[in-house]
Amino acid sequence: VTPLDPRIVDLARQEAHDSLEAMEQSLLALESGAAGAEAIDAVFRAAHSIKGTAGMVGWDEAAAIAHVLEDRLDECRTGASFPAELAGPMLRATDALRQAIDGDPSGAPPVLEELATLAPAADAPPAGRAKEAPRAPDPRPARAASGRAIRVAAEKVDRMLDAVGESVLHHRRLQHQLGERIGAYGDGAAEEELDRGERLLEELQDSVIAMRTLPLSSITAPFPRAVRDMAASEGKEVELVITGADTQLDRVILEGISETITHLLRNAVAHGIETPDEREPAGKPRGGRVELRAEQRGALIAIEVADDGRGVAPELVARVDHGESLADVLAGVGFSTASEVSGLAGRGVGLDAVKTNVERLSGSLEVLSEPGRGTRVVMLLPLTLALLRVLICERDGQVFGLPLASVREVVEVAETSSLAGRRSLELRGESIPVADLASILGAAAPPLAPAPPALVVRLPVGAVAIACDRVLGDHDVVTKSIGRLLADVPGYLGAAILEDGRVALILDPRHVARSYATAAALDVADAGSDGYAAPRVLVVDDQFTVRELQRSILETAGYSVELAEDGRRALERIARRSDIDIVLTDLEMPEMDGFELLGAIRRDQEHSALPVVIVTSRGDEDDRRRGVEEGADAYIVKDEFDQQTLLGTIRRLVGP
Amino acid sequence: MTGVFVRVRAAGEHYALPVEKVVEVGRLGDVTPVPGAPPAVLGIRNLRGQIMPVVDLATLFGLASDTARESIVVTEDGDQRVGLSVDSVVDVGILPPPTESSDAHHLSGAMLVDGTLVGVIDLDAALGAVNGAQAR
Repeated sequence: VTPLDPRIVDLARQEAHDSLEAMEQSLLALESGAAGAEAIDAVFRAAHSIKGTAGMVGWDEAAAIAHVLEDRLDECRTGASFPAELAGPMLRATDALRQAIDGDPSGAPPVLEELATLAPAADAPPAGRAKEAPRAPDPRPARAASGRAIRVAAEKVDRMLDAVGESVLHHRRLQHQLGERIGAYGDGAAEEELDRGERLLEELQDSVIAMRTLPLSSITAPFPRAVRDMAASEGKEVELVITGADTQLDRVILEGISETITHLLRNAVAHGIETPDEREPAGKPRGGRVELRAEQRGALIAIEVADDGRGVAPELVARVDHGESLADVLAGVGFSTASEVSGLAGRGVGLDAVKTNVERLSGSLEVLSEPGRGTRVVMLLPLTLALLRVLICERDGQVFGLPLASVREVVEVAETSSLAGRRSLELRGESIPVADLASILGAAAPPLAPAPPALVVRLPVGAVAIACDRVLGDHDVVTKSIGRLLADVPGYLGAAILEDGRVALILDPRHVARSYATAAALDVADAGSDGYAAPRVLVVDDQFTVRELQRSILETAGYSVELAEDGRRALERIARRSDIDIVLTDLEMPEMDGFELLGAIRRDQEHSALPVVIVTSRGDEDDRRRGVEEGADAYIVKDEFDQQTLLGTIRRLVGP
Repeated sequence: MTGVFVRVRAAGEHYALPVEKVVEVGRLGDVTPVPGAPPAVLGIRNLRGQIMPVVDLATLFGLASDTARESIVVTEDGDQRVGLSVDSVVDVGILPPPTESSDAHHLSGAMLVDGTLVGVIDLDAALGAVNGAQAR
């Protein structure tokens, strides 16, 4: 027999207490003669519901008392009268019931005896049960006695959790600041108090987080029925197995994934599981099996929908070998339409929505499939959204955090190989591109030391190793917004204040995915430049000094540079050979000005995606707006021109 | 329109902010750079547990400057809190109504105070230009 979820027992207990309260009030009213038949009904219903609950939860004595009460009350109902002398024994019975429900059944036998003598005509109560030896009392009767639920608005709990989170961080900062001084004075008592404070706060934090968590079972109730109905409408036989239903999840995450799970179940039934007539020749049982499985994996919760159906089409699985993840292939990346995917695999329908939803909850999606054997869709989600567990790393003296859910592992970049200018390292037979964190962010930074550590980040497309100076370990942080003013700056989920008061920018793994493609080359000191072609920059300006100034800055930074005196010459150069990676152009020039050049590039099918940066002495609003409207990738004003801005912009657009 | 202003020095020039827009002034402190942010954004700063962007006034106004930024003026406009880094805070006091008009869009006017020209900052317009000055 599976032990009951203590939560359910608590709920049952609470419900029984409510019934008892109603019962008592009605009994008191009946005793005083202030109430009539409707009160008898009320007491009867209360007794009946307690009997049901007690029988289900296994409170045998309580069930026995309730059973006898129910019988006595039924007689009263039939007679439509309540003898006043019944009130006393029945009120005593409610006391015994309350005790029994709270884990002390010792009051049951005398009450049962008394109720039996009151109405000898009644059926004998299930005496065997009543005479059973009293069970061991519930170890938590005191808590149970006061164990009523109160409804609290979710936002209040969230606010409380925020405050507790801040308190924990505040305490850590305090500890950090006081720690050394206390150590120096050898003040053991103060140290002890600090430690105690930390434990208390952590306890508080755990209990508030527990207020926000619910078991997966709280949303699984409709699933078996839904799967049954879906299977029936498809003419299939499908069994749904749910395991790990007691896994605790953040309420917000639970709410966020309920529909997603339904969607995955529907996909599994509709497209994964074959019809019985298809399954039999394949040597499979006629009925298919869909499993919904939840389990905690470290700081993450894995929720998996697995089926033993036909699996993903081999054509799609084959694409994984070309550096795409199966989740990505199925989410439709690289496909013109979703129906193309669905036609091939029958699995892609809406998987992009699933993926987006999971990522919105700071999680990630994995799909595993064996043709003919089935498919597993795994959602990896954080334990809680209130606190984000991040891995903190350092680059050029600045600290950054990456959500732990997105980090596969930490490796040392010892040996790398290079192909087409992209550095990569080998990890258990898998080739993983390596990128410098600074390059990804477009920040200027000194080169990395040889063999730097790197965080292997899960991407929609495989993984990327992000090299940094140091990895400082994982922290639970409260992510804060970096402000409306910076809302348009891509790449950050927010910022967090660390124990030592430092501010860590929290990186958005999705942005990392987008950026690494342009910044994958790694400037590790030992990483030579074999086969690596530096991006080629075309500088367009009618002033000799400006051209030469830009050329020297860019060449020093390792770019190869070509020059053009005006838009027309630039356009000719671009058309001659498609090896220009980025164009820096002035606005005012003879022959063809910067806007005309920009327009011509954007209209040219072959080169329309070429990044164009406007570098000009005109700083006025209209020009900027026009530059953006015409499709400039960046706009740099010469009088606020500095090397770092220029190089940062180019690095952001085409990499180092 | 006479009013109380916080007078600051940025790149050697004098500017004034209506005191209603200023929450506090203080030392600049540690500012964490935000790679990819507009050039005028110095970074973000921890102000008693809250994160606030810090904008460099001189850079925002396009002033070439190598003076040290020592102070921060924390401004509040609606629900938006932004720190402005400046050379120093001069004083807080009543300034005469603006006498000079200014064609700079981030100034609502200017006045002569003891022989020094002081520009009155239009905070809305000035902060609006932060992202306008953004590359991309």
